[in-house]
Amino acid sequence: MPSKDLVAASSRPLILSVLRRGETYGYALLGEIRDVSGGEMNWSDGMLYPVLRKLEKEGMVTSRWGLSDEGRRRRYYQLTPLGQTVFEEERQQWSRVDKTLRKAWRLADQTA
Amino acid sequence: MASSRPDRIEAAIVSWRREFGRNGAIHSEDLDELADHLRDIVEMRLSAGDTFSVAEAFARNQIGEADELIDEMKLVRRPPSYYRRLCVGLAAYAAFQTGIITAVVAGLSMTAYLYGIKPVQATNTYELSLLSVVAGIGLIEIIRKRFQLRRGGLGITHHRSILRTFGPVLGLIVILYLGLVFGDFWRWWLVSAGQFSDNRWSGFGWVVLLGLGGPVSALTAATSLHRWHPSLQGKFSGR
Repeated sequence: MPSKDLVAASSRPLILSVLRRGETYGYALLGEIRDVSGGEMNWSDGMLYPVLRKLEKEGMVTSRWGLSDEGRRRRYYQLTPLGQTVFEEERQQWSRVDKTLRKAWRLADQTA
Repeated sequence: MASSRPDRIEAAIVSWRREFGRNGAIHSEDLDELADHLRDIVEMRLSAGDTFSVAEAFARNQIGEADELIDEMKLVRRPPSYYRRLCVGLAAYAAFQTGIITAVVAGLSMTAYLYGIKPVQATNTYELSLLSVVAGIGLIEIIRKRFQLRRGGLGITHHRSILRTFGPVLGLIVILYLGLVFGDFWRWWLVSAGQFSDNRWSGFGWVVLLGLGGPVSALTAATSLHRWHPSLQGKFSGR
């Protein structure tokens, strides 16, 4: 399992990635993250909302209240144009980190 | 009669909401969303064959700790910085004014007493001073709590250390008190020695208090500022 700090650091790009696919609600969003990570990123459900609120506050996400298929009130989240831009930027940054780490580990394996 | 499954779920949600909704730190809309999670998880676990108590415990665990979420939400909902700066300014101003008000109230009371108007006993000025200091500190704490300034104020609701919490407050009170006693004693001594008339020095307490109370309060406000505002952190305390 990744450490708490890593989970926290990756929460934003993960949420943005899921929302890039389209509008969704909190429970489904968490389900997708769990699926994508194969259960490795096990967030508590409560921790999703502070991140979503922060993204909303920063103008990357908007939300609206609607009704679920069962007729229950449900809040749906969507990326804003700013959110799309930030998603692209974050993707590039994380790709660079990923690329650098892969190289570093390859070198580490060679010298070991 | 055993209650139905939906009733048990709703009862569990009510109890859960009470726990998470305390202090009003988590907005009711956020609680609504999380309550939906709780409902969905419990229903899913019940369908999978869990007993109700197991399903509820699983759902609560999945949602997480109330304290942790409350702390996170407080961070997110912190007011914007310009608003915080305004609050800091108001709080600092209140701290300074406390000293001035203390000085004026005590000084006027003492002067009135010495001129023979005697609206209050001279010794009451000490209590008035203490009362206005405590009222000022209370005001700052209310501002700090209201606007969720995590650091600062005089730290009454933040720091665990008693000395650190009450140190500045006690220091302020002791200095003001000593100033009053010292001022009174000096005046008494000069008048007894026949060097000055009683009336001439009737405002002595006022001078001492204005001289000490104002700067001490301003100093208290300034040292609190480094805790209130991130840009000032470390400037006064060396942290």
